[in-house]
Amino acid sequence: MCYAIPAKIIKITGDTAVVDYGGVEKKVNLTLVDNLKIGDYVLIHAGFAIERIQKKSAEESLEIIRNYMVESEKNL
Amino acid sequence: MNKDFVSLSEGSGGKEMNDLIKSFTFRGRGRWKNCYDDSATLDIGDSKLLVFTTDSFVINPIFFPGGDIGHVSVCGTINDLAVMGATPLGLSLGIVLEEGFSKRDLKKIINSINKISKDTGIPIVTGDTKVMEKGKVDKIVINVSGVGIAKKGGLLDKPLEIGDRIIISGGIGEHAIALLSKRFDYKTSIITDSKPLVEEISSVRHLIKAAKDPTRGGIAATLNDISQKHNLGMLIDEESIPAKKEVRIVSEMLGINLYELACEGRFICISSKDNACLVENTLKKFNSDAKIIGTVTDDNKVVIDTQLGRRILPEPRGLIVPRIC
Amino acid sequence: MDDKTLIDKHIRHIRSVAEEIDRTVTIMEICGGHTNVIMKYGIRDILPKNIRLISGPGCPVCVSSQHDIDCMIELAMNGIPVATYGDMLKVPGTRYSLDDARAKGAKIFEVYSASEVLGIKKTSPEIVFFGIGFETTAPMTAYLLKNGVTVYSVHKRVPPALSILAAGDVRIDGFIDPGHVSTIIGIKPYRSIKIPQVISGFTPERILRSIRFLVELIRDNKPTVINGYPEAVTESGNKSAQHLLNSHFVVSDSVWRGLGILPMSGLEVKNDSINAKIKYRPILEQVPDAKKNACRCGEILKGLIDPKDCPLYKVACSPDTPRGACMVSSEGSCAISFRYGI
Repeated sequence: MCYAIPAKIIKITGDTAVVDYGGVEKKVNLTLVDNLKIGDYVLIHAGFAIERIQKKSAEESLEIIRNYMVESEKNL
Repeated sequence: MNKDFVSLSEGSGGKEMNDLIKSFTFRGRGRWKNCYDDSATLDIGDSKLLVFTTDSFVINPIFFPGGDIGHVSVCGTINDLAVMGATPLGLSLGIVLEEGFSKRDLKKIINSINKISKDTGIPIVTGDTKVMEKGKVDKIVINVSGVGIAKKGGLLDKPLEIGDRIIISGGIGEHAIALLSKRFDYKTSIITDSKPLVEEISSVRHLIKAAKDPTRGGIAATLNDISQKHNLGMLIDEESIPAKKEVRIVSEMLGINLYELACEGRFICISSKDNACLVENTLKKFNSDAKIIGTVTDDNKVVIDTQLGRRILPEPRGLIVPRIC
Repeated sequence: MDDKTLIDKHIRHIRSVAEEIDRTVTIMEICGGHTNVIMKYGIRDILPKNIRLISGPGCPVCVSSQHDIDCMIELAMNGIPVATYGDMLKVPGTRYSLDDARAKGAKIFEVYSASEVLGIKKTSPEIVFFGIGFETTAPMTAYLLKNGVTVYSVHKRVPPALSILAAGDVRIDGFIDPGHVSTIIGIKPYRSIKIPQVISGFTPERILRSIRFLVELIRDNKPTVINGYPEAVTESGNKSAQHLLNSHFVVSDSVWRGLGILPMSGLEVKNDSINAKIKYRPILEQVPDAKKNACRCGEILKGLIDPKDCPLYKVACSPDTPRGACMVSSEGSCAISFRYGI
């Protein structure tokens, strides 16, 4: 049950959307995440979008984590 | 398992089903052999073996991307003969219909069956049709039995040796993914892989020792079956297992083990190390995803080599996916 | 850098930090998805001997009390149509499982997504949904409540369980926090638990990365929470999902198999008219208290013992003849260990 993959919203009809991940299209329920638009990436779990994937801030955070890793390697 | 009544998982192709079948004891098999294998065999003299099999199909939905229940039923039985190394001679067709079943749908299904029969030259020679009251059976149930002939010593059940190679004839899980698309409401370009395997198996028959088709329970079931039958182990290279990207994505999405997804037009075969490349290249002419995926070992377990180390590939248990075969 | 190279780096780094820590440290994960990846890839076996990785109560089916399971089965056996996620079907109740009840004619609908229940309600208006799961699936159940579906809720909240575990019988030095629960609740709820934590994604690389961060935090005695899943987890989490939760659920005490009653750890349906526990009280009152059996799921869920330490494991308890939820649920420690031959 605990699997979720990021998917791109390609169509929205009211409460539901069609998302695309790597060629697989699936209908999902959007009621748990606000203000979604076509082109947004979302995390899907059990047929619901549970969160928007923050591409930009994810990159920034990964940069922080990468720096942390580099720093910690320096200390070895 | 409940002692008193049958549950869905006992038809799933996994351990529970095997246990249920083994609990039936049929006496008086006489000179018939291989009764728990894909097909049973009977020595009829003149260095020939009669090969006999049966299979019932309860697929839901009955129409799915690339095929229908008729197509899968006939291919399924033809393949049970082909993987034994037999030349199919004829098939029987038993149909149980629900009252009210659409005649247009029935015609489509019969047309599918006829097409396979015509393409392979394997005739439907006898059959039976029954209709049950609405609600007493779910739309349609098909049974296809088949007889074939094999040369004595020509069966694909030769002893295996450590170091033999394991080859799969194409990408896995496509039938399951095509079938589940309606039930789980997703769309992909994947169509069922269901097809007759007579020609493919014939092309490598002289090069291989054993063959089996990974239907219900997928390659996890089949590799474990072969391992148990021959009392030998297997080491499978995870990166070599061919599976289309969409199949991987859907299995991840649904939380279903990729290796337990059913195929209806694929087979696993074992060859000597020396023949393996030739087998792979020959099969690539039919499906470019054919691949050597592993080696026979003396371990008595099926082990899969992942990016992080080795782990056991267990025999499927439980309700893998209901009614896809 | 590809995953394999990263994995090698993480492992080397974990090994070198582990050498600096002169005792055995225990890291607990509480997410069925993490348990599965850890077992599937044998991650425990590649960690240094003094880094102990244990599974906690991360499987929502496993932590549902026997009594609640018996109650749902009782509803089904009394002709009330019931919808549930597939995992629940084979969990043994005191007498039957839901799967057995289905074979006996009870109307049980297996759903992959809670959203399917709305369609089922059209033909079976009396449908009761078995609300299982942590904060990831609870908002989906809230959506059903919003649409008037009757629910039997056994939803639970992760942070209260973490607090109890952190203060419990097993010394826990760090947590791998659940991935998807965190997308909903955010990072904030974990901060009050003064113990090193890393919120983790689901690939083997991500889990090893999380363990790498954790061993450093443990070495440096830093009770910090690191967000190792920043693509999906933010400080405040998914506010609209939280709002839906708060509108339809009220925080309540809850019984966790193995942990007993944890205060404020459950989510109870707010609206009595669609709370199955109230609506069907006359039926449910008849359900006797569950009898204890020799199953040691409780201790396994707390991380006190491993599946192999339970006397029933592989002897009387197997996927064919499960004695407890840990052996039935696909996210249960015992089922996962059994599958991978541990």
